Amino acid sequence: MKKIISIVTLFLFFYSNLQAEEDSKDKNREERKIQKEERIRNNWNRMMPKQNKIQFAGSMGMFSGSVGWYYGRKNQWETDFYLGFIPRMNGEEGHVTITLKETYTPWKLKLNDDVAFEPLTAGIYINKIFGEYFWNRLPEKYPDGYYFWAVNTRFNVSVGQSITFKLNKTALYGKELSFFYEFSTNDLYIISAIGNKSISVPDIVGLSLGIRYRLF
Amino acid sequence: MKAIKYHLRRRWLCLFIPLILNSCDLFEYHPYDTQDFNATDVNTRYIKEIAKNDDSTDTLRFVFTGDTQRHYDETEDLVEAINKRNDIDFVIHGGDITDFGLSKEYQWMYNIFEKLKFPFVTLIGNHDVIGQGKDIYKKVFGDYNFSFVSHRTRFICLNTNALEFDYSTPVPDFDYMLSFVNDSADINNTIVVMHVPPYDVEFNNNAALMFNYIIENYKNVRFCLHAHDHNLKVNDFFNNGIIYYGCEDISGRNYMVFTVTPDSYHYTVETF
Repeated sequence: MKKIISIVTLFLFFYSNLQAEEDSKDKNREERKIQKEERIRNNWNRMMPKQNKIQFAGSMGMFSGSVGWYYGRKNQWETDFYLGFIPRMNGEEGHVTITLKETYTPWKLKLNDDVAFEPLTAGIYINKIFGEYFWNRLPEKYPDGYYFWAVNTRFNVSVGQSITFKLNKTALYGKELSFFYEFSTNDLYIISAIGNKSISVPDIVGLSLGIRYRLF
Repeated sequence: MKAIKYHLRRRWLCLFIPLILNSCDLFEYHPYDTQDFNATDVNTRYIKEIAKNDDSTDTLRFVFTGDTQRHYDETEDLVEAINKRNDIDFVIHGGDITDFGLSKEYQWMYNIFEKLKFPFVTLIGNHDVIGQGKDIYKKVFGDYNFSFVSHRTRFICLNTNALEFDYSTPVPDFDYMLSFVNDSADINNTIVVMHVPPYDVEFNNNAALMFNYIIENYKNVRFCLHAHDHNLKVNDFFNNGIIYYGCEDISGRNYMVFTVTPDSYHYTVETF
């Protein structure tokens, strides 16, 4: 009887020990899992868009809205992804456009603690319009090289200025709010102006207005 | 100090208000947008003018040009050169006023041709169709097919850019063409004008013989005109004596002048 008890005790002891070992293993695993999750979350967080823009005109829609990122040593680079809308008007169907835009802002002049002026913003953007008559690759019916450009894709350049207001003292939530304007033109306009004295810069540029909101 | 500030502000406003007013054109939603042109139905307007100026004399003289796309300087010179003349009745543009079918291209070209002191009619070219270009053409110039009479001669201007359209738009439009076979107008001659000539890759070549058959049935067809080839061309495509004349594009800095009388016709190529 004594023997049996001692064996059972021993077994229980070992078993509980084993259980504890397994428990700690599980704990480690859990921790690692949490850490890994945290890391993945952080990585995704870093990719979270930090700014939004609303822009009027600019050859990418009547109104376009963006989600975007800013980065660089002095936050001088911005990448924005826009969705634009051209409403039904002049008897034409409405259209949707998408735009990928890179903006470079070399200088930021502090006017006071809350207001800064950006004397130059330079951008390049690719715009795609969706619609029946807007193709990207030359349709099969045409002989090779019949038309050389993609009708739905425009390459644009822009220059502008902006003024930025810090929001930390105001009731508005967020980091800063900017107002900007831009002059822009596209590849086909530049091609048209080349070699023609009668087509001047004012003929080929368009104006657009926008608001940029930085959340954090 | 306050006064200075006030004036400064006022001057700013003076600078700013016209800028805003003038900038309505500056706000572009898309290059293929059909903007609000101040001109609509240009062909109809000038056809009326052609009819008004028509003195029904025996000698008809007109300028034929085409493919002015992206050559704005040359086109300005062309308009200047034609305006120096006094001997022509009207100008026919054989199509391709734009290269990309863009709204701005239409506007630029129209602004130049508007300076002509003669009436001008404009056909649709294959480049003018691209994107929403065809809608801009329709708005600014009018129907793809149109016709007019001058000096007892029927001009039938046809959309032959078949490759740009699908079957929902007949190109060439036989119904339209057939409507002139028993022309009720008081005419002695017929001249057919198109952008793309038969047997071009852009033409609906399955329809070429039918196209020719209808033209053969027109009253006294003198000749046909086309643009699109960018070179001077003289062809008898169907070996029936109906000659197709093709004009050079505007970069060659020349235009064609056709003189048509009841007995004969001749053309000259004028350089500028």
